[in-house]
Amino acid sequence: MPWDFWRKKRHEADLDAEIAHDLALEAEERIRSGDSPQEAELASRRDFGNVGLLKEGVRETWGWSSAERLGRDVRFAWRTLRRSPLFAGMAVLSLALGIGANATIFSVINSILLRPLPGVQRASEVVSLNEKLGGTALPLLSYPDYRDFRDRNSVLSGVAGISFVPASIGQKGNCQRMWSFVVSGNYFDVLGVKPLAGRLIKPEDDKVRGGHAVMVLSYTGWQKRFGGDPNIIGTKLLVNGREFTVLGVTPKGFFGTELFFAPEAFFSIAMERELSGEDLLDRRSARSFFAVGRLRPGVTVAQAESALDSIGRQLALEYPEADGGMQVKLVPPGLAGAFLRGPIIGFAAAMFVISCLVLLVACANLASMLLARAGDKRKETAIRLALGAGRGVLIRQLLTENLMVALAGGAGGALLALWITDALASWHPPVDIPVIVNAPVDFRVFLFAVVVSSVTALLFGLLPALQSTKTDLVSALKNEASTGRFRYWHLRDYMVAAQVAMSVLLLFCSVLVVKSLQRSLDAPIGFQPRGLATVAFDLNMQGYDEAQGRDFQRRIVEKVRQLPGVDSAALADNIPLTLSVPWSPIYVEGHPVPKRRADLPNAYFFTVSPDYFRTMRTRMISGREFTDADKQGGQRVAIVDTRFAEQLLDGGNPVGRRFSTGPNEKPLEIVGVVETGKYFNLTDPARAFWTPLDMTYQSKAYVIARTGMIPPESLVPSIRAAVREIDPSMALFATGTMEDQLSWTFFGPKVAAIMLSAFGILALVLSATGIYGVMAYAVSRRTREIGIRMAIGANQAQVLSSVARSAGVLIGVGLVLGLGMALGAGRLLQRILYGVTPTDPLTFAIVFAIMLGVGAAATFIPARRATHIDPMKALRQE
Amino acid sequence: MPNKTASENHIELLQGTLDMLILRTLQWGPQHGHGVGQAIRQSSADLLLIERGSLYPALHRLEAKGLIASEWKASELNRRAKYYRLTKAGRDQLVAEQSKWKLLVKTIARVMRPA
Repeated sequence: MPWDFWRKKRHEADLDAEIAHDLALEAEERIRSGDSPQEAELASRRDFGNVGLLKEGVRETWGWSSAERLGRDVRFAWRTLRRSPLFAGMAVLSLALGIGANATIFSVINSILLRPLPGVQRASEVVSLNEKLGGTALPLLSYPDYRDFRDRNSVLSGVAGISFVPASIGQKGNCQRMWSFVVSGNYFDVLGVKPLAGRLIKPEDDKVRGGHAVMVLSYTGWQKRFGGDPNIIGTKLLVNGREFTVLGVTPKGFFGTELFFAPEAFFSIAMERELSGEDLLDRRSARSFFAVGRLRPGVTVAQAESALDSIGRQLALEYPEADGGMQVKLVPPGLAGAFLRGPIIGFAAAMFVISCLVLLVACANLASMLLARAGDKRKETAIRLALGAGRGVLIRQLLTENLMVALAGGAGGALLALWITDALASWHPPVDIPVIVNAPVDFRVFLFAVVVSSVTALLFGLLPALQSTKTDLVSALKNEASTGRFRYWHLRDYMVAAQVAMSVLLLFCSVLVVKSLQRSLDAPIGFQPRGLATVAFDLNMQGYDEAQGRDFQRRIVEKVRQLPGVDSAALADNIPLTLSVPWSPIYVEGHPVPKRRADLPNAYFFTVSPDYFRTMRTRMISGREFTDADKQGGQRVAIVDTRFAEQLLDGGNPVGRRFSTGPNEKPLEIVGVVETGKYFNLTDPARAFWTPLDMTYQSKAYVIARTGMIPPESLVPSIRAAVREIDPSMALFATGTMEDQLSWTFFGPKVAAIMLSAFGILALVLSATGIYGVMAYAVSRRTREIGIRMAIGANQAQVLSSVARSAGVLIGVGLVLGLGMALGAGRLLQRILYGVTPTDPLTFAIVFAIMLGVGAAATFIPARRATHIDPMKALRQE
Repeated sequence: MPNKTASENHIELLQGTLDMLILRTLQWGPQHGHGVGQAIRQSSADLLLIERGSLYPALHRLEAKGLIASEWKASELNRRAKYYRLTKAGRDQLVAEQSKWKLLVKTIARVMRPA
């Protein structure tokens, strides 16, 4: 503030003149009473007292504006910090790491839970409809149910239906599989999305089934596939072998209503059959549509939920077969309705707690450094206090210094978070669907970083500041060691112990999760993924009818079997542990049928060709594999796993028993039993059955080939070539090794393991620097004492042990505390652990060893320095 | 300093009374800082020595409170000096302080020398 500044300048000049005037009058008086002019001036100056102190006193009364005081303090703090760059650097770095970790997690939470859906108008009014039939609430509705909810309610101004479909899109001879949304005609109106170019799908495009061959590109799809070509609007593209007209492009930043899914194209729901190859629009039990609605003005979520729930009850009465027991739940959209929301919030909360722990370690580090530094500055502080500086002023200046360190750390942390989230955004998870991880750092994240760092500075800087200004001036000025009495526990020491404890906790959690991941990777999953190559295609998307499709499937599997290096090959409609494994209710012959559909037992099912189990290396327990004799129109057969046999068939020989998948379906006879594996995820204990592909044709199929001698990835190009030989325009997906396909399953645990390990290592590094700093400081403080000891005959080993002992106690106490906390945390972690008990003694041993090793290393360097102290120098120091 | 012995048995000022003394001194007319100090010393027969380190902050504090005002004028020796004078608020304050002071003196005297 320049104005203020000039006012102060004038005040200063006035004060100087006033003082000069006073001195002059005084001197004149003395001359009058006989002093020589020189004497008079000296005497009057002497009598006048401390001019600096006087000015300081007067300046206080001028009421320095807080901005000016801050400016002075900041300049002073800057000078002080510049004098000790090592301290400043270490402090800023450790804070930046802690705050960076925190801000990254916060920005993810921010984008998932706090930020409104991007590109959607008044996103807070948009809700996702979820149905609950017995088990968990899922965001999946059947189309007839969706239509009833849309037409019967009076609480939502509009309800849009959405389904996810992959489609083969492109020009002739160059088609690519693109994930798309099939949306009801009111979709863009309900969400309030305006076109970037052309027009979007309107209710008029949803009138006649199969009659609206139109599509809209998303901004990403438009950019990625067509280079942002503006002439694309109005042209025709080949979609699943049929021509569709491009109507327009959605704006940049609009990704639909699912946060992690970025569709490349939008189609009208009237074309569902043409795109998915299934008649889903009339089947009330085919639950494959998401529904999002916009609340009418003035209607709360709770009111809307109860209104929709009563419609659900009505539907349950009208259609007990399909909708019996239906309940409706409304949740915010974005995370697959209620399905992912809970787990993701839980995971985010856990990560946030962990990153807060890391920040706490960083803060403890900072606090112990500040305490050590306060010790170093003890003499300076004492001199300033002796010269009349107020304690308040000193504390204010110390806090300003801390605040500057903290803000620099906060800025560093925010930059770190920016960098990490940037890396995240450009990273593509190893899955076939367009998953986006979009966690931009916005003002909330910066606000968060600033608040966290300021609170840190005040909280963790106040204590050292208070302590350091409470010094015994005499001993400080005489340069004596700070504590004449041998006080064992300093505040600093508590900080180190706390740091060690928290590092132990974090290390323990990360080791536990990493081990659990290792176990789950090694656990039997019912097949051997190593050595398998896969390629998938969807014949409906290519416009094949069933006869053509059967022919293609037969020819391709024959061709692949002939390829050099292939031991065996088979087809399957789905592979286990990918996201799209279907399940079916089970009606066991001779068992009573429960009243409610939700009470029926169920099982995952796969449709596979002969040789499937041999190729997957799934063990047959009894009965037989499928053979070429299991044909369309022949005997209806199935193979079940041992869990199916044990749980649903109440013992006895399963072979020969019969079950069906619907009340009106023809029964299937069990001809074989195989080992139980994993089907949906690694922790869900599920059962499954298999039917022959030739018996129940599926247009989507994976070619699975097992290689003997050659690595599976080298087989992929030749399988691709074999497909192209039969049909050059075939769009392929999921090409690669089986292990690539399964990476999604291991994605969650892997992310958790990587993050926990990163945090664990971070905490370890921070506490190592903490221990090192405190020990190095302790040695430097004890230089004189050690010098005397050595002068009177202590040997190196004695000195070493005396230094190491104090560190040992700190680390020991920290370890015990940390392991205690780890026991508690282990119980919380139990739910996500697989095959590891949270009290795993080996984990405890590993963590104990690591912490002890790091602690010893951090102690050793200063301790060794202590043994090299030259007694003569040490004693001459003062 | 003219009178050394007097300054040796000078008395400590009671907290808060310096402001009152300054106001009282300025009742006779505008005065500069040095003059205020001299006037207090003289009227206390050299018993009260006001440190400049207390006097000037007090003057500035009173000015900030609006009890006195200042202006730069030519002094007796034709120098420019900063003259302080009482304001209306200062006069009121002085009256209030004086009656409070009288009560205090009476009360303390009664306690110290019970009748």
